[in-house]
Amino acid sequence: MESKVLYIKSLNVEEARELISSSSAFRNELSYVSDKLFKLKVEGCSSCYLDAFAKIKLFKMENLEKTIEVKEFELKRGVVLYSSEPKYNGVTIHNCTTDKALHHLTLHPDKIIFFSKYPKNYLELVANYGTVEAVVIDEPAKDTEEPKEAIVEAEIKQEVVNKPYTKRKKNKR
Amino acid sequence: MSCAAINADMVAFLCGKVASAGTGAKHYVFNYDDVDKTLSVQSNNVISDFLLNSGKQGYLFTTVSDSAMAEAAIVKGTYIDQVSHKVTLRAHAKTEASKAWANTALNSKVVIIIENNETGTAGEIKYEVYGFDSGLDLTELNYTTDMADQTVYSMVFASSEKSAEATLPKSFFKTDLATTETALDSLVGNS
Repeated sequence: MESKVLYIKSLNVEEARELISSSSAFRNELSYVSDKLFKLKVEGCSSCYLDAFAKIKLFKMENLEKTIEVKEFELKRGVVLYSSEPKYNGVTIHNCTTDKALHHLTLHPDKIIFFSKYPKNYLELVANYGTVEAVVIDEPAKDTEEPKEAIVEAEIKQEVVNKPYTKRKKNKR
Repeated sequence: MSCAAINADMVAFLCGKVASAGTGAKHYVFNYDDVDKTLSVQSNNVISDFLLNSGKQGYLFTTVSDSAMAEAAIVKGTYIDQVSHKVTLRAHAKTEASKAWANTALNSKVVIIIENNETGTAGEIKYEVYGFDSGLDLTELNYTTDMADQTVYSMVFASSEKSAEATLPKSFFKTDLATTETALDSLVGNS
């Protein structure tokens, strides 16, 4: 997205006018960027596209992050990432979020080759993503409670196995 | 050295089923140089992963069913036989945009994925890739004001005489039809 805005901003009015009249791809690009920045799709007359161009030209790049969600990770086109978890299944360039990217990269770091864009510190992010998961599992409160329950349960089961049926009933009551 | 030898039986007719002729309404056009051949995966002439280079995208050619037509034919060589691929795309809209598209197709080299009406048993034959090995050139561009069959521009993309394809059009199929179409969607459109 950033590169698209920068490209449009780099053009002068004459160049833009020429492209608007000759290139449907450029008109689509203008409409897309205008939609993302100003929630305004452009269609129809060439002066409408020229207006959109002028608006984009005046847009301040420092506001880009505030205006749109800048994607940290971008998959190459054609890539579909699978997961047994529905939330992370069928990830493509169109629906790839940072969370989904980190989930897949945590499991398969070599999948980085399928990304066309990723932060330089992605390995750090992947490492931290894994740590976050681990912290949730090893939460201190759960550490002290869950194993105890598990031991008690195991003891009860052992009793059930060892003792006759009638005595088991008495134990439960 | 011989790379070719027939090594399997063939059932050339399926009882109670005839092949559906014709093409669908959505086809996918890629610049040949934009296809990432190193990461794209093909096995037994089925492409399971069709990937584009970073920052590149494919383009949809949306038309009416059966308007597009695709062909393949053997090119007998002195030493090695090849297969020539040919795709005819017709524009039925006389607009500035369709004219501009036809103009940009001049001098281009493309790969085209054609949507067939025939899907096979699980969708494995629905999408076929033309020009994957060597690309297709625009070899004919016809325009008449008569607009017979409401065809404004007729564009023929074909293998060049010097460098055709190694095989018949490869199928594009990944796991199942839904996943294949998800992958196709990811090749086009703005993200």
